[in-house]
Amino acid sequence: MSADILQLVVGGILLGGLYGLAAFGLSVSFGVLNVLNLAHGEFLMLGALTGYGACLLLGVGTFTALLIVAPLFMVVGVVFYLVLLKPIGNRPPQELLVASVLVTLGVSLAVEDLTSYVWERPITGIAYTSGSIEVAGIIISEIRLLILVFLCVLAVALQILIKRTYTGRAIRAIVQCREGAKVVGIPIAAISAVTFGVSATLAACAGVLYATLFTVSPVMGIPLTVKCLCVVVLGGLGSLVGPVVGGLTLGLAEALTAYCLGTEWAPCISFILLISILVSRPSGMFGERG
Amino acid sequence: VEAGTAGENHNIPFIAICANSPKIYSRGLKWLVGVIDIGPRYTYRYWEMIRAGGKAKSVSFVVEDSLHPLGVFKGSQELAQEAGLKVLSSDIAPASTQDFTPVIAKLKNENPDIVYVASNIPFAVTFMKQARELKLNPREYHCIHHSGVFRDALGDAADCVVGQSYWVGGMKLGDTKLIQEVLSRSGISEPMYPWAPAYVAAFQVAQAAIEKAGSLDKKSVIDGLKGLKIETVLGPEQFHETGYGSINTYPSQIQKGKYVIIWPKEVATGAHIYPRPPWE
Repeated sequence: MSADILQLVVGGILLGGLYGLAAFGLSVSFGVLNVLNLAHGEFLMLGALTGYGACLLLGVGTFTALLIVAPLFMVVGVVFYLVLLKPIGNRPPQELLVASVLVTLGVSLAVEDLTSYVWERPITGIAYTSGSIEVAGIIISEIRLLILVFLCVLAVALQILIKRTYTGRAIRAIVQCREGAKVVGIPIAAISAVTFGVSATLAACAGVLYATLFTVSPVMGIPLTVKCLCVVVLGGLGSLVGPVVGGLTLGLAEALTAYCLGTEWAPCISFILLISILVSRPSGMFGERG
Repeated sequence: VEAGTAGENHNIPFIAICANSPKIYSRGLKWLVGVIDIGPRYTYRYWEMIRAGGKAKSVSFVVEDSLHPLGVFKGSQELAQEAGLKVLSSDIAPASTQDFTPVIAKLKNENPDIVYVASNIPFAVTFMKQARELKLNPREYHCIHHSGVFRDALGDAADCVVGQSYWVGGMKLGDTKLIQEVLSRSGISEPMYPWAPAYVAAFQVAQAAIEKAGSLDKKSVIDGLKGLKIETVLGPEQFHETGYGSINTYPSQIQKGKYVIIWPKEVATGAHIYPRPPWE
């Protein structure tokens, strides 16, 4: 039994890492831009399909596909921001939030319909064959371990970006006080575009990893956006650490719930956690209290 | 289920080729017939084979919570018990389930002879990928849908998986020449589109019904369909009073990338490999 629980914890941590990676971009874009991007799951879905397509058509592996997908979605994210979000960027905060929800929801529905129409092939996910490592009765697949290592490297790289670079400091400054950042001369529009690009890139990278482990379909975007929202609210909207902790919490909770109560209860746990955190600490685990 | 009312609303004969959920045929629809047998009997030949083999003693079900897999599962559970197997567990999971670690952990403790996955292909592919990662080694995997899409996504992890096929090349059943010609002329590869032979049978059914009616009068055609008894490319076809047909699938096993019909002996194209070689 204890080996089972450990196995579930390992599985839950990996799943949570993916959730965290997927949700991180959503949290950052909200913190910096005050934009609630409901098309976030579509970036993940498109990243997954692009990665799947690259593996299928070019015969490359998952990690090579990441090298193709990451720069592509950086550009897509920046263009998305400049074309669709920058024009509404000067509205008052509440108005901007509502406008961003409407714009991104519209894009999300359009992308989902277009992708479903274009992508006729049955979707199964990236084919792979990998071995497993057994440590004290716990089996860890090599591909999952590689993904976990990749997630850790990415987390360190993001930490360096956020803490050590001008762009990172500017992002943090905007998260802390948008008006203050403007006063000290931070180019809000440029930083916002880069931030949105990074957000889209992270979502797309999470999508490629998702396609390696799971099956993908053109209609998976909106449910994933909802899951990412749960993770972000759990961790604290706008927080940089929150999504990681929120993702891990959700991944572990889902794995343990499915084992103890049955698979059909796993999707409910995200909403139970969400309601619990909203009742007990509305700002989330790492969010600042109002 | 929703589409089934289209024929009813407009009084048009509706041939629902591969629709086999019992829910469709419990609605009293008068203008609809299905070409294939009802879902709960979808794998009855597989259970006949298991009973005849007498080697498997237990089964655990992993079921996708959607209409067709649930219908197949409900019948299979009963058929498995009738075949003398002990049903160890039945885990019904949402169609969107992506992490099967908890299910696989439970299955490892149960150690069933057969893990029977009643699901559509994406669900089965995810489950099988993770089953291999976590080295779940039952003596047999049965995935009700194991087409070329399933095989290609899993690579050698698909080897020895048993599933259901309407027809495969080399099978001595019906007019094999016609199927081969139709598939070849339309550029369809049977493993990628395993339901294509059933569509050929459906066209034969439609042709026979129109010929029997002698005109395109809708009422005459549906009456002709309901009373039809013909020999199709997939064997004899006739319709139950509620509308479902009699054509059914055969158990087939993926052996080194090829699909081999393993039961019954009269139409089998190869031998059943049981138990499957475990994943090391």
